[in-house]
Amino acid sequence: MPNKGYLVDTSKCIGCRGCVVACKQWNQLPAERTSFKGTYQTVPDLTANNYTIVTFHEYEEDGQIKWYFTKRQCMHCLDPVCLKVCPQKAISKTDTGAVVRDREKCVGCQYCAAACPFHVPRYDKVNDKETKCSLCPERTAEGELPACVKACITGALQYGDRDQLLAIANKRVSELKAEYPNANVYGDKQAGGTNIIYVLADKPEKYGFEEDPKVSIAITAWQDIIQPYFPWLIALTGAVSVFSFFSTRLLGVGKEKAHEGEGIHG
Amino acid sequence: MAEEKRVVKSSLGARITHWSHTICWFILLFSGLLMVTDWFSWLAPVFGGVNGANLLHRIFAIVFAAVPLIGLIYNPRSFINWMKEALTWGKDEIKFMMMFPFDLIGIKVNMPPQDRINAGQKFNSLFFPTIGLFIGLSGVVMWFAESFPLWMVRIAYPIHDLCWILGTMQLMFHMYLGSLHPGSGESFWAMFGDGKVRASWAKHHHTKWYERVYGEEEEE
Repeated sequence: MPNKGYLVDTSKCIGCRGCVVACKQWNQLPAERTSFKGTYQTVPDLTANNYTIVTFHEYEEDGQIKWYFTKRQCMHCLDPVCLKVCPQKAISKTDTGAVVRDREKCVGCQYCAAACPFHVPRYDKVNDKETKCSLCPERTAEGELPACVKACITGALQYGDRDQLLAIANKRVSELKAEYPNANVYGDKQAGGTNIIYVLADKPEKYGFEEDPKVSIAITAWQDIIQPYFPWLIALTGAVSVFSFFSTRLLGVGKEKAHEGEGIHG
Repeated sequence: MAEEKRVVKSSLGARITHWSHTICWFILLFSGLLMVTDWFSWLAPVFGGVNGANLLHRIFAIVFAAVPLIGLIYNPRSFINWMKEALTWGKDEIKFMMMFPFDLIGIKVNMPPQDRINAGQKFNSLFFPTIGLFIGLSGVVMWFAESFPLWMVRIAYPIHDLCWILGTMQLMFHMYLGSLHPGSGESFWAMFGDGKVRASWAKHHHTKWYERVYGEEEEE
């Protein structure tokens, strides 16, 4: 099965947040009380009850107010580090590349939240579980669109094969270049490539995205060096101790000391 | 034969902390292993599943940290003196460490006279508190992950793993050398018992300390 994901074309997004509502409705997530912070953005950040949000960034450029909005959620990495760090093997990839979690297996250790280069998974304190967008595998398996894509009224969200989405994204960026010289495709190679592809009208940081998010060296060292190799040191000192137990007795040191009134058990 | 004179080697505070850390370390180790790898899933019923292990890990982490901290507040001198002892290294300590591999495999060597704790125990006395400090600090960051900056949480995981692995590695040696290694039985029962060792044993294994503390008594 080819990798499937969706395209977020920010140049077509009008910030209606229909996708946010659809996501909450489909996943049966309760509303959260928020307060007005002087921005058009209603939900300040991803939370355990908000798998997706629309972010709004305002800048004053050339005496003009410029507004950048985009959708944020799990990027569904091609090589997801959350899957690698999960000690309970609760995270897996579906045959279309969606990164999904098994709620029953999750123990709420939050390793995935810290390891994720996009910092997406959020901790649900009430249920002691980690949460994130799953790309609606229960819908897509039945030939339905993910809830957010289904709700999008402007065509800013488009579900399909990753390869095709990339081709559409590149074409769209070349069209946008005339008006938006900094237009770019995001997600084609970030963190090793993601199944969610963005068309950004300006540099990623304008949208609050990192230009080149990478898995932290600490996480890589932990997973690739410390965990697989270091435990052998325990076996080594254990083996040396067992060896010493027998060799000291065979060579008679214990006997000699026992003679001095200093036997093994005192 | 008359009852031989016995001298105090391990203080009450040292014995309480040692008992508490012995128990806590194993509970923390196995509850942690249950959470971190499926090799130990057979232990799940003992701890009440992974969630039970998770809870126990936190409860015993508090005990693990609280016992030495209470001791430190109650009697800071004792800890400072222990650290001073452990940090005092001279020719005899270096010689001991160099000759130790021979002793370990059972070749008879004449060890230089040692203090209340020998060079190997001095190393151990510096090693475990360091491990304890770092495993505790990284554990706090992991427990309250959402309250700490992301970079701190990201380094806390490898530190916590490094600490339990190196700690358990040293523990394999410590368990063997402190119990079944020839000549160690005396201090084993002192640490887990009343803290006392036989005077003749102390004189032989910890000559410098014995002479300093109990030497004059003997002359009288």
